[in-house]
Amino acid sequence: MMNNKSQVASALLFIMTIVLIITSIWTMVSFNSKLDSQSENLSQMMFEIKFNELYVMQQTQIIFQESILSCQSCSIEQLKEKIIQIAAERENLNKFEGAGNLYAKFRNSEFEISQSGSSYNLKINNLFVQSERGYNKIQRNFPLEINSQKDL
Amino acid sequence: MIKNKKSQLGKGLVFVPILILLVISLTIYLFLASGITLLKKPSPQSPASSISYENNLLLQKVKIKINTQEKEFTVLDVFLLRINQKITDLEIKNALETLRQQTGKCYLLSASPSQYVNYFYSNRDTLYDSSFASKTKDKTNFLIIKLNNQDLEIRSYFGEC
Repeated sequence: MMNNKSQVASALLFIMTIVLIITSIWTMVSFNSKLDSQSENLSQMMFEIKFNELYVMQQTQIIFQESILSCQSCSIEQLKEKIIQIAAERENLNKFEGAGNLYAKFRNSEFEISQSGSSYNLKINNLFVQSERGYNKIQRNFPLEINSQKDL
Repeated sequence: MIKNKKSQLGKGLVFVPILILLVISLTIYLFLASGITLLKKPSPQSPASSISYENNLLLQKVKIKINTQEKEFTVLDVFLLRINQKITDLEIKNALETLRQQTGKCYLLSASPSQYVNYFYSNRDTLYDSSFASKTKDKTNFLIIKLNNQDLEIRSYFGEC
């Protein structure tokens, strides 16, 4: 009688081990290891954010340079008006969504221009660019300062 | 006392083969689990290639004529102007060719805004020029932008010829 009881306990130990082994193997086999698409999305978002930031810098430089060239004997206020006008023209011609709030900043005159000697300084605060994929979203905020002598 | 000793001996005798079976099955499990770990290894993408003004075609500045006035644009803007039919094929080709002459770098730019339209610009033949195709293979940038509420994938390369 005692022998039978010990046999049942030992057999149960073995059966439970086998059940646990099968369960864990099944969990491992059914695990979806295809993380490529998720990883690719994140990689693409990081690339886009950096690209958009650089695009905003290039676009601001182009607008600033064109404004200075076409308004050489202008006052600071006139130059500011010129920048708003040129930015609006470019926005109407071609609006790239990755530019974030750049055109809104120009439209709402939310930028500063200062003059030191023969060079002009353009400063825009709280610019942002963003990238979205499904439920994921990245937003990068940054200020931008361009000097007509150093950067153009 | 004798009974107890007997039962202990019986217990031991039954437990030994079970113990051997357990050791064998756990060893098999260990090998199986290691094999599966190797097979099911996640393969994450390498981080996005480094991006700068110099190595990205779409961020280069080029000049084109718009309403009889020559203006500076980024290549991305010029390409979008082309897709929106605001400039001609020749104008974008000339702008890219001027850029190639100024920098000495080769370029590739393409996108398919619809099933029937494909824009493709390159100064080298990527289909038959295998050396150029191998150079562009890993250094081509893919940018997905929204155009007319649709995703548009722009493929670009700017570098060694």
